[in-house]
Amino acid sequence: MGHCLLMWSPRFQVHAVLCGLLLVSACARKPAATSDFNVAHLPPTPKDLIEAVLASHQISLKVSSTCNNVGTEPSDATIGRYLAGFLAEMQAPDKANWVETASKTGTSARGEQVWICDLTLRHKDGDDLWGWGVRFQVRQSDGLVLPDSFECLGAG
Amino acid sequence: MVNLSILTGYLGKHIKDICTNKYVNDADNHCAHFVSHVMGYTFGLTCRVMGQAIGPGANLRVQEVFPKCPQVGTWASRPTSVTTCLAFITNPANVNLAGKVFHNVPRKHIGIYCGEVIWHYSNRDRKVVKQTPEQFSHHYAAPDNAMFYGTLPSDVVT
Repeated sequence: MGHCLLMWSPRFQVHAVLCGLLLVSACARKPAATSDFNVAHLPPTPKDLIEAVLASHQISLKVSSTCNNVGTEPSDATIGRYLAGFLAEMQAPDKANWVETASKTGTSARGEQVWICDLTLRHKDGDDLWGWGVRFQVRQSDGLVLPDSFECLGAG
Repeated sequence: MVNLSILTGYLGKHIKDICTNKYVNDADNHCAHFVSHVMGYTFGLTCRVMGQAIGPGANLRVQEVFPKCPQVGTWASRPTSVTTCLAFITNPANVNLAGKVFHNVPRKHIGIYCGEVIWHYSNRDRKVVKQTPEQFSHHYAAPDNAMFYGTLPSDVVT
């Protein structure tokens, strides 16, 4: 699996986190109506992968049992709201925060060739160490993000 | 049933020496993962699902273990008869004892209380350690250091 670590400088971190938070959460409370989204490149670049997650923010956490109770608040109901909760924890400029992306080839439940993509938000400050994110599939034939493929990553 | 002999065998071990499913990234938090391997908690999301499905699965998430405890409460309210149990630490606002709900927040941690010490996986030191409850109470700074107990879940079925 290819990996990409986007290390954030404190200044960039603050801007990026705020922008990400706004993008992810701005429409989080609208009715779920996921429209098709195709990534810009195949295989998807880290930027494509992040864009795909932002575009999928309205997907319900009911999409997978791996997403049961992953929100930082019990009322969190979407992928966007879940990730926004952890993005909001990445605001301290003196802590280590980073975004990790990865992708590898695989096969979907319907037998299609796909890219299996991971996006993980990570934080490390002594014993305050965590990584929460999502895994999803991108169809290789046309770059379509498969909404029902979303899973929630993370432990702790 | 867990005992001091079993727990002593884990002392100082890295998660890679415990999890045969190779869910062992040091950038992940392994507190619930360690506890679940020791106790055989295979419910919910496990390392067998998220890792390589080689060995027995173990739950990965504190918020999934906490509701499985038959009895929960603040650490100070732990009955003297409860000499072996699970120990939790987080901001008290993250825990609803009546509803037996533990929110999935960043600063939360779990260990096993046995032999008057708490055995847990130190993500900072990347190994299993044991501490007195007083030492454990400093795992996070206030206000994220409220301690709770949970009696051992008996249902270990997936």
